[in-house]
This record gives sequence, structure tokens and C-alpha cells, in this order.
Amino acid sequence: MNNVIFHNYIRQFFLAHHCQILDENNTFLHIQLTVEMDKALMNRPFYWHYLEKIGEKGQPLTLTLYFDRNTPQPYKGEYIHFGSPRAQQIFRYVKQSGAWIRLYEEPSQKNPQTSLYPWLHVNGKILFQCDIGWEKFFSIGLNLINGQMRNHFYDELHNKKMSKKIPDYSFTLSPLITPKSGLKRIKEVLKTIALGEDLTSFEKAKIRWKEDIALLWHFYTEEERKTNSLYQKEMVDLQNLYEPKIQICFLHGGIFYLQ
Amino acid sequence: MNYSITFDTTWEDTFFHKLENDGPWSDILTFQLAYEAIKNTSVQEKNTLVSIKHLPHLQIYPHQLATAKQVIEDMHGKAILADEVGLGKTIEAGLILKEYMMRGRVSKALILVPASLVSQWVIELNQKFFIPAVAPKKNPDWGLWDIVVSSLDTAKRSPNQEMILEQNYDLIIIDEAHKLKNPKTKNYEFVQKLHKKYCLLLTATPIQNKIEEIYHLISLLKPGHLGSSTTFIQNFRANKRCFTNDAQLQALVKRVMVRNRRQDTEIQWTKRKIHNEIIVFSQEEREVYTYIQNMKHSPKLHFNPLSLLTLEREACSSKEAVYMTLQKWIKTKEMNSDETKIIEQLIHLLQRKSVNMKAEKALEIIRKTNDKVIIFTGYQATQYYLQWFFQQHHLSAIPFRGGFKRGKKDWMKELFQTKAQILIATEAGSEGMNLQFCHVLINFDLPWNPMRLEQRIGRIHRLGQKKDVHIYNFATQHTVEEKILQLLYEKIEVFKRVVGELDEILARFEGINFEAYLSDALAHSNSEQELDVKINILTEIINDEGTQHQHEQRYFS
Repeated sequence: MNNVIFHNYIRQFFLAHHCQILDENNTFLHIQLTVEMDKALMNRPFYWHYLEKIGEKGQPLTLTLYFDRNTPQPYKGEYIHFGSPRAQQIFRYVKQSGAWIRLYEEPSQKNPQTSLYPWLHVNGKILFQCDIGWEKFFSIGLNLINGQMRNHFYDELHNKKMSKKIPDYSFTLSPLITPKSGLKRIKEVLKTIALGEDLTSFEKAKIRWKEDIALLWHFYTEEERKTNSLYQKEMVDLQNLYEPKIQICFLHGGIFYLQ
Repeated sequence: MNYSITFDTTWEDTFFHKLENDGPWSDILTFQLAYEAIKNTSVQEKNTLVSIKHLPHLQIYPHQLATAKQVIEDMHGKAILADEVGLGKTIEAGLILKEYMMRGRVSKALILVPASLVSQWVIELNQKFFIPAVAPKKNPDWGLWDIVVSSLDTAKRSPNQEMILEQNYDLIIIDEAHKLKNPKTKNYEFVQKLHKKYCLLLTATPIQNKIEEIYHLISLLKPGHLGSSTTFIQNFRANKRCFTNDAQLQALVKRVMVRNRRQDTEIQWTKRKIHNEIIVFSQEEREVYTYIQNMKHSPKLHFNPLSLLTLEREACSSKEAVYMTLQKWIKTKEMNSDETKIIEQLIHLLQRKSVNMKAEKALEIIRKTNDKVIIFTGYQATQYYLQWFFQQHHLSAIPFRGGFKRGKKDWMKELFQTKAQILIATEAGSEGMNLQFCHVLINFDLPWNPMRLEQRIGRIHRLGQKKDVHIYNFATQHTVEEKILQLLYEKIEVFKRVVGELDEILARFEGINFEAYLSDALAHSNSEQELDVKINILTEIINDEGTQHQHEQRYFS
């Protein structure tokens, strides 16, 4: 995310959560938080707990975020950037609250009797772990009628007009493949994708693992290898360090009814 | 190839639950924001440091970046970070920790540092790296805390030790790791037992005295890298292997150690301005000193020459230091009547009113500079005295020593920065302390180990120092101290060398304990000539190494 995109992202976040922007320019946002946002971001549970107990309405705080350290600061506020704790907190919140959805495509014309196909859409990461770690992002769609599967699915959705409710004159087709077995199919495909990655790092890690075990073996005498708990501990530690592992995490997605 | 593949089912469990209950579902905008967040925080690059993008406010020097990359890519997260004092080992360690955290490799880390540095580490990790590190408070919960900074003493105390050993730490960082050179200590055993994937050992002086020390350090990191202890030590002794001429050994060490030297970095360093001050004793001080010297020669007295040498050194610092030692002697030493009498007379001499000429000189410098001044002394009694002395002259001085609790040290440092002009520190409290805001340092008495001198200077002459620093070395005329200054420090040109070169040179001496050698030479020489010869041998060796050092390629680049 470059600075402009990041700034816009944060702005969108507060607007999406019904916060009023009291003042802003291209270096800062001065925001009136809602009660919900105050509770989510400002870390003052005792304040809210206390007010609820005595039955009073609380006063949510204002928050000022500066996107540039070196500009004048008309309000008391904090510096925010992509890696800062505040940004991380917002990302966490959003990932949690925006993780599951069901949407219907709105027909471009008032076309009576549009049939909508159910799609299972999932986004997530494949985590590759040995002594280093890296991730592969995926975005997959599965047609629950005919089993067609497409990668980079989110990008296809992006330009469609969507609604949370079934549009008038549209009707949905019932899935032939249940979402559960749909997800199973996706998992199988993801396994193939994962193993098709460049896994030379894994191969190298396995070789190093063997080498380190050999060093360890020589470090202890035969007697110690049998009885010494340190030797056992080091062996476990080496396994934790080098053993190649793949974990697949679904993080985001839902059911989409599309034309 | 077959690799284990697992699935995280957290998302799907909720998803199916929502399907059954017809929601509730997220709105479109939040769904889009969530997608952007997930996509942009995923770490897809394999061979770059992704953490850099997250730390735009942090000034990272090229050597620090290169070190972090090298440790992760070539050393697989097990390394001795042995940069010279002041090059920012903490930053390197922080970068590595951050990178592993972002890549999902580290979620639990234990950082063991000297008590005086705990808060500093916590602050730096939080502010510079956005890593939510904490220091243990009362009844610490080691299972709950993910990133903990603790002193070794706290960590190995029961029940902390038992709880810590149950944790599966992903990364262990140990600052000032040269203290773990002895495998027979409780500290060493404790560290050895810790569960860890990755391990960073930080030290500016990886090879202080013996080759065995680096062996033990590496064995913590990577047991077996230098072979088993019996084979290594035997080999080493039998073949007269020595670090300087053993290319194979150097190559092995280089595989687990990164050492940046100041001259290799492109950073512009400020200058060290050295002022050697020869102090002339006051009448009373001279009498005390002479009295102690004469104790050597009386046939009725059987004091250990080394103990007397200690007294001589202390007399060069303050009579309070002598007095404190004598008190200890009276309590612990068995003495014959002649000895007791002579000690009593010495105490009597000490009780006279007298001027401390070094303190007077320090006062003069402090008044002249009008800037923050840090004073180092090896003696706690001198520290007490100086604090009282400056108070008499309406100057506020902050004491600083190893025994202080963590919070107190932070507070003292804070006071020094904001309120007081003077900080009086003893050796122990000073390691790792950053005092770049101070430009003047007084060595009230000189340590006999050049390495320790370098560490003192490193407190103020480090990355971030913007001005030239002034170092005042006090040595009293016609005493052991003057001998040390002239015969040792001036000859090995400790103060004139390129910054950091000295510890590189000294690191090449595996067998020499400087302090013991010097003490022995001073205590047991029968004549001035003999003493000169003995000290000359030492300086010549050091200088030879220095010359060689300039011609040779460096070991660690």
C-alpha cells in the first residue's frame, strides 16, 4: 500500500463505520468516533463498563491521525502508517468484522426473471514454514452448480454491482454442490497449488536439518545421547526450526449469487 | 515431495454456522476493506526483509540491514552479533525479531539482558519496532506473555525458572552474551536448557581471553559446530592452535558470527579528544600513599603484595576507597599485632582532613565545560565521596551502579538527562547504557583492562553522537596509576587508534588476562627496570598485533 492508498483506506474505514470526519487535509484526519469505534479502538473498557452500570450515555473520543511526521499538527494526535500499532489494530478489526458475507448480483438492466448462480468464494493464505517463512495469497471461486473453479476470483467480483438482498425479479438457483463439499474440493486444489510452489527452501532446510543433527550427534557421547535430556531437547528444537510445514488458512469469503 | 499440509478451520467453522443461521453477514464495504487488509499484509516475498516497509520512521544503517539479511538467509537465525561497541546491535536484533514475527516464524520470544537495560530494550522494541514487548512484573505469567524482556537473575529465580523452561520459545536473544563464557555457571546451564528455534547472542567482545570462551558461546548456539568439547580442547592444546593463525577455525566461527567494525561502515564518526591529566597528590594524600608503599618492605608484615597493590590503586582514587577496604580487612583477615597496629595507624592517617586533588580537577573541568559530564570510577566509596563533594559545591550529581534496581536506573538516567549536570558511574552499571546526549567523560581512575576502557567510552561515543567527545584520563603522578597510563595506555596508543580498532586487536589475545598480568608485574617486580621490562613485553605484543592487524585481511566482514 502506498501512502495515498493507505490514507484513503483509513478514511474509508472510518466512513464505513459511520464516524464523522471533523477536519482533514492530505496529511491528517480528525475524526469523531462512534461509540462502537471508541470501544473497538480506544482501549478504555472500564469507562464504558462504568457508564453502562450507572445507565449513562458515554461520550466517544475524537481521534486525530497524522500520515506525515513532518507536517504541522493542529490537533493532538498520533502518527499512523502501514506498520504502526494503530494500523495493525484497524486491520485486525476489519479482518474480523469483514470475514463472512452473502451477496447477490444486481442485474444491469431491469431484466425480469434473472437467474443467479451460487458461488462459494474464499480468500486466504498458504503458509510455508521451515527455517524461513513465506505466504502465498489465494482468491478462489467455485460454482456450486457446475463445479467450475476460478483463481483470482475477487478481481472478477470487483466491478459487479452487488446487494445484500435478492434484487426484485431475480431468483437464486439452489446449489447442487453443498458449500461443505465445495470447500473440500477447494482444499484439494489448494494442496496441489501448495506443492506446485517453488519449494527449494524446503529442500535446503531438510539438508541443513540433517547436517545439524550430525553435528549434535558428535557433540554428545554415546552415553549422553541415551541419557542426556539436553540432547533430546536440542533434537526437538532442530525439528521445530527446520521441519518443512504447509498450513492453509481461509480468512475471508462467503456465498455469492451471480448471473 | 511429501510435506505435511494442515488446514486452519477457524474461518469455516463460523462460516457454516452463519449459513445455518442465515447470518449475520458483513456489509460490502467492510468486506472489501478486509480483503485489502489480508492481501496487503501477506508476506509473499521470500528473499527480502519485508519488515523494512513497516518501519519507515526508523533510521537503519546499511550494515545493520546487511547483518539482518545475512543472519536470516545464511545463518538461519542462529548467530553471534558481535559488532563493535556502538554500531547498533540492538537494532539488528530488533530487525531480525520483527522479520520473523511478520513471517509467522516467531510468536514467542525471550530476551535476556542485564538488569540495567531491561527498560531500554522494552522501550526500543515498542517504539522503534512496534513489538509489544513487556518486562516481568510481580508474579509474571510467562505462558501468557509473548515477547518478554528480562534480566537473567529474574528469569532464573524460582518459580520463574521452572515456568520459563516449560515454554516453547521461538527466539532467544541474549545481550552482553560474553558473560556466558563459563559452562559451569548456573546462568550457562539455564540458557542451555531453554527451548529455542532461533538464537541471537549479542556481544562486542566475543573473544575476551580464551579460545575456549568462543567455543562455549557457539556451543549454546549450535552445539557441535566446533566439535565436542573434549576433541576441540584437546586438538587446540595439542596442535597449539590459536585463533590468529588457524584459518579453518576462523572460517567456522565466521559462519555463525557477524562482526561489523566502525571503519567498515560509511558512517561519519565524531572525534575523540583525549586529555591525559597528571594529578599531583596533596601533602596528606602523598603521605597515605607513601605509607602504603612502605608496608611492602617491613619484614614483620606479611601482607599479600597483591592486596597492597589494591590499596595503592585505591589511594589514587580516594581515601574513602582505602578506608572501606581496610574496614573489610579488619573484619575478615587474620592479622598479627604488628599488622593490626600498622592498619590502625593508616586509618588514623586517613581520618585527617585532606583535599582530594582529583576531585578538585574534576570540579575545574565541570565548571569549564558547562555541559553534561559522566565520571567513571572503579570504587563505590569514591562514588559516595564524589557525590558528597559535588553537593558541597552546589552541583547535582546522579550516582549510577550495578546494584540499582531497574526502575531506579531508568529514573537516574532520566534525571541526568533532564536535571543534573553530572553522572557518577561505577563499572557494573554502565553496560549498554546509551548516553549520546553527553559529550564529556572523566576516567577518575583507570581500569587495567583496555577493553573495559573502551566500553566506558562506548557509552557516549556511539551511533547518534553528534559532537566530538572529550575524554579526560586522570592519573596521579609518581604512582602505579601513572605507570599504567604511561607504560600501558600511552604505549599501546589506546586513545589514538581508530575507534574500535583496539578491541579488535585485543580480541586476538586468547591467553592474556591483562589485569592479572599487570597486577603480578607491579606486585612482584624487584626493581623499576624489571617492571618496565615486564610491561614492555605486553605493549610490544599488543603493538605487534596492531601492525600485523593493519596489514592483514580482517577476519569477519
